Amino acid sequence: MAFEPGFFALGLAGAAGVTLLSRRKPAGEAPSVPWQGLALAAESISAAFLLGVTGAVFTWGYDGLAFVLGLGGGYLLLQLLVAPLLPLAGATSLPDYFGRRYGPAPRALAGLAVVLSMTALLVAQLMAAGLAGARLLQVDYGVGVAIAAVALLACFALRGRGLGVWASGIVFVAMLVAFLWPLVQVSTTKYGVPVPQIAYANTVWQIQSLEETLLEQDLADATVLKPLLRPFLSLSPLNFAGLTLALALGMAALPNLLSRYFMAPPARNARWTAVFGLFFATLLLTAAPALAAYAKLSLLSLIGGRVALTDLPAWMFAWGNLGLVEICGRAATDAAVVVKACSELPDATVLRLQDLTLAPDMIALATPEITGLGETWLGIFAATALAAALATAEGPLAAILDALGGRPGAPGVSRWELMAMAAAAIAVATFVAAVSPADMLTMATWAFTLAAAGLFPALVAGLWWRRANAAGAAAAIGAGLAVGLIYIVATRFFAFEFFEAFASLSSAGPMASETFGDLKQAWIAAAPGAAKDAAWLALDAHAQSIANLWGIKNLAAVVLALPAGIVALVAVSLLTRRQSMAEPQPH
Amino acid sequence: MHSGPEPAKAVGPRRRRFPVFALLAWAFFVLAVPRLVEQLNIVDVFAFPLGYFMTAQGSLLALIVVAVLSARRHDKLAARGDE
Repeated sequence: MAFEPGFFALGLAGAAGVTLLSRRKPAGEAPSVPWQGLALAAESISAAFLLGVTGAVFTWGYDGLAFVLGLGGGYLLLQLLVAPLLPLAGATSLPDYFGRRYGPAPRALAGLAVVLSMTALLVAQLMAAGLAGARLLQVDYGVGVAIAAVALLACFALRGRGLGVWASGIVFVAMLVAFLWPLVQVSTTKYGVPVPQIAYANTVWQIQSLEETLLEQDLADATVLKPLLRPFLSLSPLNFAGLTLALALGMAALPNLLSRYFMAPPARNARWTAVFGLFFATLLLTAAPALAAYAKLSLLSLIGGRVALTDLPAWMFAWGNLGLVEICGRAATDAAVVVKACSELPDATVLRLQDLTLAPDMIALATPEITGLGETWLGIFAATALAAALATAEGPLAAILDALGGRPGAPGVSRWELMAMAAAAIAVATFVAAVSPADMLTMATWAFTLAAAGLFPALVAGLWWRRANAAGAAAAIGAGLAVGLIYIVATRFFAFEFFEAFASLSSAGPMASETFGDLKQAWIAAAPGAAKDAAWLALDAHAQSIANLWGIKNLAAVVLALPAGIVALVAVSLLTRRQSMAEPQPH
Repeated sequence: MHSGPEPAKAVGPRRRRFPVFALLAWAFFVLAVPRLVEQLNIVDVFAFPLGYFMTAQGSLLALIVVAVLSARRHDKLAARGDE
């Protein structure tokens, strides 16, 4: 499409426009509570989850709904546990609250937790912006991320701090329109019902029927096909609950949200902001499974139609060139590559589900193409995602700077120093986003996990439990953060070593352990060079699938980290001196 | 220092009733209902299997109801000066 760069420019202009609005607007009257709810929904869902949740439901089926439930559940926790009391504390940010309530050591540890979790969220936003930019400009993903980073820094320079509440609300309205309008169109055209959340019930049953047909016709493999309605195929019930908890508790302690919406009295406003946030977020979150279902139906119909490998739709190659679509084990860059790759496999004359790998990150962006809505909607959707990603990245960036002492207007911090700090934070996040150590949704989930594990117990105890003291809070933050971070890093990046050390505690069955042993021997025996690298990749990929303690997945690390934080908080608080509430707290 | 209530009141926990029932409702819809999906799927609602419907949207709608009821209740308590 010739005008894709135009949509890219539109996305950048959108981000710049709302940033400029933030510069001008807030001096006057404060936004109403419903508008604050809109802004809260925009910043909490953000572009990473907007795109990622659809991909999760598409890929995992029912299990992907853990994201929908977790994100939605977070708003009620905010309302019940945080909103009634945090606005009365007189703090200006989350680390400031910890300093006032507990003292300097918990404040410093909370600052560390803020920096880690917000950096992960910033990385996820840059990945979302980079992906949208790369698709629109048809450039390499790394180039897309670099352009997004420069645009983010420019937005920060324009504004000098995070996005204003007025502007965040506008971002949410744009997200809602770009996301819902095509869905309403499809629902009306296909089923005559303009409410996608109801209309897609028909799609669910059609998908179920198609799944059975594909299995019967050997166009899908039972080991690869994850039926949409069948629960707990990708996540066990414990992991489902753990992921849901990580997102809900993470949102209730997310520094960029708390600093913006839950610090200023009256508590009533904070309470109703959370209620409106939940309402608006529900509109988006409940639409994501519909989008995933429409995309899945289109894809399964394509496969069910026994499409020839020489006749694949153009979107597969557009995304294949970004390395996000693989067919027969190779990136689908063009038809010739696909035909050649599939000729090496038995019986692969038409497209089969087991030969096709779609990266979950691309699903939402590609849905307009997959469902045949047309390229204009791809452009509008991608431009909105780009603008939303850049705009919502300003919140985590501001939270990082704040935790590092870079609050705008703070004594001793010049504008140039602030810019240098922002540039450094963006540079780190850009490097991680370009390396792409995990997919966008996983990265955003890690951000919430670190907030849930590191900040939630001490935050809620500080508000509700008088006996919680500085030593207990420091222990809670330290233990929760350490366990969460170590589990995430070890099971993902040191999976081989982790499994070797804790094989007896892993949920891996005898077959999986045997496969691990075989792959390990193959890696040891492989000749140095490409063969050794390929053997390591296979071993590491398998190790990641079995590196766990009692079956707890990386995304559900909070199942281990949260109890560690709570136990440390309670035990240390009770074993150490009671903290007088009248005691002035240095900060 | 910030201008506001004295530090002890501003910083420390309040005497306020912990929202036990609302949190139990939260735990039911967010943690228990998804676990019961297979049992709930026997029934259909809006042409969806009930278990799928609840996890995809029903539980969120229920959370909105809990949120509104809870917020209204606290507004009334605040008006009476109980919090």
